[in-house]
Amino acid sequence: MDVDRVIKKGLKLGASYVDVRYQEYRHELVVAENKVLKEFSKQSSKGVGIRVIVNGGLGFSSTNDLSPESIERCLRRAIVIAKVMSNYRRVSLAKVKTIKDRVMSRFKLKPEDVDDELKVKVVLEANKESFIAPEIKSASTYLGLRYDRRVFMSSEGTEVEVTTLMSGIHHLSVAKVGEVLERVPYHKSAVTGWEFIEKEDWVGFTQWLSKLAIEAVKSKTPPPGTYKAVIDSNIIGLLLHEAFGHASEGDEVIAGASVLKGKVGTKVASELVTIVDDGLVEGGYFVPYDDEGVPKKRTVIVKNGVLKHYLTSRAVAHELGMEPTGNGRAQDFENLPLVRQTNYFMLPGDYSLEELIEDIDFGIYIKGVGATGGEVDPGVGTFTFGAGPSYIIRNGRLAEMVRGVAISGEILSILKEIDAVGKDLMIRTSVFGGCGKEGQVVKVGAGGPPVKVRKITIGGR
Amino acid sequence: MIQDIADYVLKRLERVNVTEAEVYVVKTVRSSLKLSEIIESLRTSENIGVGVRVIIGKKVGIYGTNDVTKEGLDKVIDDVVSIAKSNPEDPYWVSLAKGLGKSSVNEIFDKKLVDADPSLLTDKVSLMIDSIKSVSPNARPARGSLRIDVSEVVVGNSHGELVSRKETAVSTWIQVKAEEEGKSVTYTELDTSRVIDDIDFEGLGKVAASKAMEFLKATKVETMKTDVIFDAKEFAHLLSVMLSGPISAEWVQKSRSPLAGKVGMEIFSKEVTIFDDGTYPRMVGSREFDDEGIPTRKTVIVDGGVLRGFIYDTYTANKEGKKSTGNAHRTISTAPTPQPNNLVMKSGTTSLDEVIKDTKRGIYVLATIGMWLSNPVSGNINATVTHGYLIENGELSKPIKGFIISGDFYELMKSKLVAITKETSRFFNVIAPYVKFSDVQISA
Repeated sequence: MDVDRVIKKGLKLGASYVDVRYQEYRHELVVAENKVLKEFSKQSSKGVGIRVIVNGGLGFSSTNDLSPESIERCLRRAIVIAKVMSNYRRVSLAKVKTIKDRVMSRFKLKPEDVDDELKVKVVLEANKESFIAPEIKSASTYLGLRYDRRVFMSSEGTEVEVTTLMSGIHHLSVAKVGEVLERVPYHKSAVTGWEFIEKEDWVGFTQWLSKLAIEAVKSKTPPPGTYKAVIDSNIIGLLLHEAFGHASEGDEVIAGASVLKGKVGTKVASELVTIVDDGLVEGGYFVPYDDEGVPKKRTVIVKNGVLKHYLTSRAVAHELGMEPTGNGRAQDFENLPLVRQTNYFMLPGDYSLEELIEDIDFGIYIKGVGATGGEVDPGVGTFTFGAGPSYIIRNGRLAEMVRGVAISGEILSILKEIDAVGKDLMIRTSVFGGCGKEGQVVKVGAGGPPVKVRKITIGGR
Repeated sequence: MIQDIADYVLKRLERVNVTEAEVYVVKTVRSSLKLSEIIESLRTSENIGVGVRVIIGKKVGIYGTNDVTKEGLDKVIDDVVSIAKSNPEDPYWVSLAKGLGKSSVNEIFDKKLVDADPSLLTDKVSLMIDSIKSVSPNARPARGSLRIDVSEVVVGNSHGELVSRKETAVSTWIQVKAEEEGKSVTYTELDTSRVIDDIDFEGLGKVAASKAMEFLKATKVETMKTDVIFDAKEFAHLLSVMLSGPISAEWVQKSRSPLAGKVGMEIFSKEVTIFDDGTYPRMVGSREFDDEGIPTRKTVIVDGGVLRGFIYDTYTANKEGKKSTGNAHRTISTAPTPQPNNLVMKSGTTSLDEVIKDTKRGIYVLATIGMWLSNPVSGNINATVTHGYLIENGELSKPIKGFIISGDFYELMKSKLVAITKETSRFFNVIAPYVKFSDVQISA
């Protein structure tokens, strides 16, 4: 495909700006359920998306037929749409430096070079071995492998190519004792090739989850109420991403759908809290550039409790009068970039986990392994999440396990109640699923250190 | 073009050692418009997907790809064979579809939509937006979309048959927000058809805006048991949730369907006749053949209250030694399953006006949320009515909101169904009349 020619043609047809995104991806999924192979599927695609601006109108069109005629048709469609759209809505892109770069995530073995039978073997074995006791009633194990190559070229001269490989395993153990059923799901993913699957002990991983499920099913639910708490990295990451991260997305701010609207420069969290969005961080997803060819550097969202910046794409940056932060991301070549988080996390403090726990007489250590997700309303900042098996804290020490922990509250008040921040930073991403917005799913990372909060509401589920 | 892809894949598959092979190619050119108070964005995408299924002995492998380059297609052949070999045998496997062909279906391809100018979409949506503003300055479009698909499908298999079809689809929804004196109410209207002139954009906007305005005055109701009239669209929605799964032979064979073992029995009131019809003009579920290439048709599900049968794809039909009813639905990367084409409930003889007039006291259900919380396996209906009317002395007296309607679907349909109107309405691929039930539980 001669992208240069496409861009020149677009300019000749009246566009003031043209960008072409070429992408190829391959996804593999192997699923074992109750000791039997349930699914082995592969999905692959190659295609191109063309975005143009004509008279301020934005047009976008995509195709996966890569013949020259089809690409020409695609360009012409984008131009016609842009002309029509200029009657309804005009956009401007904030200025950025032009860049030429080509980057790859670190990997040794491409999934496609690995025998399919070996993939099935790993998953089946991890699944079968997770049935460690009669309490385990069912178990599902998923292997996910992804290859994603994206090339971005614009009429401004930017040419960026990013290749990302990802591997991971997700497992769910379900334990039942009497009428009580406990589900413990968890996953481990990494931005690497097959070598990650080779080096980890997956049988140990699934057996650990089964043990947790059995211990949890035999434990009690905590009495609902307000608790002093230590929240682990998983849960703080989930809370920040869902309840705070989305509210810091510039397009949500413009739409009036964010609790953070009009709050730049004001205190939104305890002064111990600093929150960033960073495209390149250990444990997170790999976003050196966004899908507008803008470098994704570290963006400081909250510094010492004060809101500093929103996340932006180029158009949103222009509208808000802010810097483009490199957060214009698209699910794939068939979609327009939207403002999305990359790796969103809290920076660490000085406390060890023991120190966070030791001055709590009575409280709860809320853990994320086995968390079941939740709901948020970013417009008001309220959330409800199901945490995993957690521990009661008594006299500064971890005591018995509790199950069925549901936390709820308002994100801004929780962030203000943080009175100590741990030193051990953990960030996680997932090869399974991702973050959804307006029908587009992108890979994200989230995390932080464990933190101590003066109070949080715990309900039963 | 996509026929060439199908031919290429089938030829390549002849050269590998498999028992049977099938290719399913679908090309869709989609235009989508997104709106809020203004037209937000418009885009098109042209996408070709290729689904390949091979059988080695009784092992089945499926692979879907959107990489339609020659290398991409060649890789599919290698990979799908490798996947089939990794899979366990399916003891119920008999064969792929045989007897491919086409039925005759009217008005499923709207020529106007092929390479349509994008202003076709903005014009239609502008009509809708203007009609909202004409109702009241306090009503405005909050969110919505318009989508136009032009599709081609080719299905062929190693039994030597190949068929192709073309169709179009138009789908729109609009949510209107009305605000007055600090109160705010939303109302959503939607419609789907294979033909664009079949959709009344102006009417959808007007109805959504006037309903939103009207419901600013809505009040709550008390818990009670009362007569309930379902709006036809909402009843179509209920039928879709409660019957789409249970009438599928897949559900029956997996013992998930409450209708399993009930063929020949009276499951509903004698007035109820329901069929699946893949040939109904303009309906979005209509097509000349299903996703395995079997001609669509009309299949009676319930006749005079008596359950007559289920809908089948080739796999579920083979399992019972029957013929497919032309109900296979699939994506490129999943095995086909039997799902309704269009569910149609036969209309009655009375008018909606008469039914309302005959109701001394009751409730009219206009719109709900959370219908999906209803359970088609147990038959439990559970939905929150967001917009309804109180019926007093044969008239819709005032708008009401925020109550839960619950009950057993099969009990309602058998012994509490008191009226079926002659007027009908559609909700996606379901057509239904307005119906009245007696003695329904309403909870505040």
